Amino acid sequence: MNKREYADVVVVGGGAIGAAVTCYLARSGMDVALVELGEVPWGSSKRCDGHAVTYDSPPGFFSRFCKMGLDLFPKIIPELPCDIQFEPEGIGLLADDEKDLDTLHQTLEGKRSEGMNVELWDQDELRRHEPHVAPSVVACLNFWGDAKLNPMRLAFGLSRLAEKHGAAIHTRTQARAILKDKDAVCGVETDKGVIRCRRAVLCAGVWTPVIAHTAGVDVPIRPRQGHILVTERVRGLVGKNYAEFGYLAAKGGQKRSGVSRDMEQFGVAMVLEPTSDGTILCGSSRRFVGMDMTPHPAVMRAQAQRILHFFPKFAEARLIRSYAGLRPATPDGKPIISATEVQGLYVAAGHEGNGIGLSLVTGHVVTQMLKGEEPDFDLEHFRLDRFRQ
Amino acid sequence: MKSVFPLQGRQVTIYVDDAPVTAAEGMTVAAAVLGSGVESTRETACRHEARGPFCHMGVCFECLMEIDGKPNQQACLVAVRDGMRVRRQVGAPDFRVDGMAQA
Repeated sequence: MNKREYADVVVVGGGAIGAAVTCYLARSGMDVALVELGEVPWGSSKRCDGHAVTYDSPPGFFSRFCKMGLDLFPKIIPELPCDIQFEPEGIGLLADDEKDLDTLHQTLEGKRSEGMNVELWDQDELRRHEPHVAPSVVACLNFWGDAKLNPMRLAFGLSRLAEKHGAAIHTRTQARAILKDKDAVCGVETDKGVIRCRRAVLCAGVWTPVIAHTAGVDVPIRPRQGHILVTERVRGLVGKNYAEFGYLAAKGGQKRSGVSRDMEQFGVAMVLEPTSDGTILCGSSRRFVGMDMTPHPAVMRAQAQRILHFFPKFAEARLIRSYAGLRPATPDGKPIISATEVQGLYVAAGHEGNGIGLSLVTGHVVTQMLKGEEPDFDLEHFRLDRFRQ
Repeated sequence: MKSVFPLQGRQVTIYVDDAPVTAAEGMTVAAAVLGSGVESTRETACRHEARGPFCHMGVCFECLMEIDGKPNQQACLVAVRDGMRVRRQVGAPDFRVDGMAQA
């Protein structure tokens, strides 16, 4: 790898977002260098699941942004040097409470009006497809366009494609400070030397506030911890991705009925992703515990219990691994894709649990923003200064 | 089948893929299976390669077998019991239900 002393743009952070931003910038002909503390990917993009989905946002601009992000995958996949195991097999949202049916119907209509392929299954239809689902589940809302992929392969593939287009990928390199000349970016200081540049894009997820602070910019991102449990390889336990309807409530921090105290406290809601390798990723939880990435037995237990509530047969599968990651959470749950008060300094971070699915569209609109083109999506919603009003 | 190991104490019979195998009480299933001359306890899920007991202490997960109908059991951690039925674990445990639409 050739070490750069100069680049037009330095991207800080080699997760899914940073790799995508680097890739789209390089692909558009710009001279880019990526700086990553570890390998690509590092941080949160290797401690998550691989859902690239629209189901978890209510109809509205954010849902349309997610859809736009999802639609970019089939376009970039033929260019990627590795198989990212992208499978648009859909995700089913399971409801175990008759009271939720009205909301399910509203979501169905709202999402359909946004052009999404959504279908409601009743209990019998669901059981025909998923014999192991608990009898308490009354309906399933399927989002057929939603997908899963391998986030490690995604970030790796994007960084390799970026390299092919001339980007310099500096792994094992720690960004220490944004250097300014008056009020404009003039470089990025790393532990291996300075890379001079006029523009820098911070894609460092939960680590963004630290690096932004060196330029005097306040970025309100907090690390929200989430656990994933991994089953051994199994066949036929579950046919596709599922989440529980309560996931939307847990995501919105609303009170839920029928869950234990631990589940409430840890924000536990069932999310399942059967991977192409045969294991099943089992989520989810959400809590603020600083930068702690250690899986906690009480959270794991609550999460496992929640899975069993919807799929009792999972009791026969062994859990072989668990991990916890830090989702970059903003106060309003939407990402920051924005210029800052420092000229040449941009932020593309804070995607919380949607970073994998939004990686490509973030790379795409950041490229348009840096090239001075009209972005394909109205970025007003994602401005950093919305938190300063 | 007679074990290649000297069998001390009370002897029991287990069935490895339906073939009777003599073992001593207190032995692990992995030891009994190896003693009977069967070296491969499972076939891997992706590449269908043969695997056999390696660490004998519950760490490597290479000795997975179906024991009394339960898939993916670590044969090195389970003691033999008279009449136990043991099968090689072929691929991943299969929970598919016949006649279902599920993939």
